[in-house]
Amino acid sequence: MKIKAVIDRFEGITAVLNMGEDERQMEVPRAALPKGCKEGDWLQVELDDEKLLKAEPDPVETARARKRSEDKMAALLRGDQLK
Amino acid sequence: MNRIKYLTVLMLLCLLAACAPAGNGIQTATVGTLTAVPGSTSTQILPGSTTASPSLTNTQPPEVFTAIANLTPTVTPAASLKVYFVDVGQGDSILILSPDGKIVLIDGGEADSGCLPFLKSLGITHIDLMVATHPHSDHIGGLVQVLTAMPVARVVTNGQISPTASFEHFLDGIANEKAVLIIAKQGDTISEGQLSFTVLSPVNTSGDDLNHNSLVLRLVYGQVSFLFMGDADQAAEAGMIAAGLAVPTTILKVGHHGSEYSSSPAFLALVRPAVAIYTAGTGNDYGFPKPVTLANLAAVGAQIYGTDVNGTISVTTDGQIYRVDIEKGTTRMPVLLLPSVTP
Repeated sequence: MKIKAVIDRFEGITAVLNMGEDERQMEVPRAALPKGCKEGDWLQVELDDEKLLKAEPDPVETARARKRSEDKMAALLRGDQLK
Repeated sequence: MNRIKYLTVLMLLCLLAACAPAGNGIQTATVGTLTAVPGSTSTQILPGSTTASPSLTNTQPPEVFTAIANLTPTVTPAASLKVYFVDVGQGDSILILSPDGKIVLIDGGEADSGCLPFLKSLGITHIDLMVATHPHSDHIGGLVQVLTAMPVARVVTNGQISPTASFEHFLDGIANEKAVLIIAKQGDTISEGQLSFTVLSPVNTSGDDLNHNSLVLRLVYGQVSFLFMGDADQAAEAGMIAAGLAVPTTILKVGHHGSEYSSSPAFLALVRPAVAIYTAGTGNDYGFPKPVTLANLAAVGAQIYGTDVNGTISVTTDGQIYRVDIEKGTTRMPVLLLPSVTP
């Protein structure tokens, strides 16, 4: 099964992933992720049951998600929600 | 008869606690030092040494502990500030209730981790000030549910963005709730009623390490002070030391769940907390709290509590004396003192 996941955080040698629409949490060894991955990076992960088979960076989704949050933060700081 | 004598002594100790100088360098003559009472949901103020009390209480039969617990109303501070360190498993959530009725929530644990049910159990129906220390889901996940469930007036963040879904939901929650968003940094003061939080870190958000950029808040209430560390790391601690902001503190919310990346001996030597409270999930996968952190906290004389062993922990204070209440367990002692720790 292939699914979208985001690296919420690193806790030492462990990476905490939030996966799919329901943001189900999964912990995987940080070493099992592609080199250079950062917190907040989106991935395409392949799962077999609860086992991580493959993880590929998804820079397009990462950039898209970052832009959305930047825009939303900017709108909140402008006070758009109060109008 | 013996029990009556014992209780009388304890009552005298309580009176002394109100007059005795604090042993942790805090400039007050009236801060009590507290110890857990096994077998009850309460704690007892005892004066002087923090090390003698656990052995005293641990050697008593359970019925005596109950009797001790029944005495605590005599030392419950009036017109109190109450701070709850909520047991949300592996995550942070701290609720502050001020004497003038203001409600402040710092972090909310993971989604569905129990923050919102806890607020509801206390009858809380709105939040005056919500603080997200940093964008990790074990801090902001539960805030989304609170934003959905009740009015929230103001939200404070460090301004850092993480492109995760949980952070986006958090921003959506603020927008839907029509709350005011504020970005805070070192040197800022955030006031809420009679409470005033000083922001000690970060200077500005930089780099990819979200923990490092955690908002660190200091709250002073009379003679009793609190330091809420979020997940700030040792580099952030070094920055606070350099800025002269690492000062003696009564109650420390230990940084980053008691991990080895926070709570440096140099920082703790300056903060010298009388009470150190960490938040961690029972049997968490990361080994929090780390033995080295417990040892470092013990080395500066802190009485240690953790939500993994004590459940929800609360501190009540009138600004002169304080007491710590725990849901279960006893004060946490370090498993071992590592040779690398300098006493």
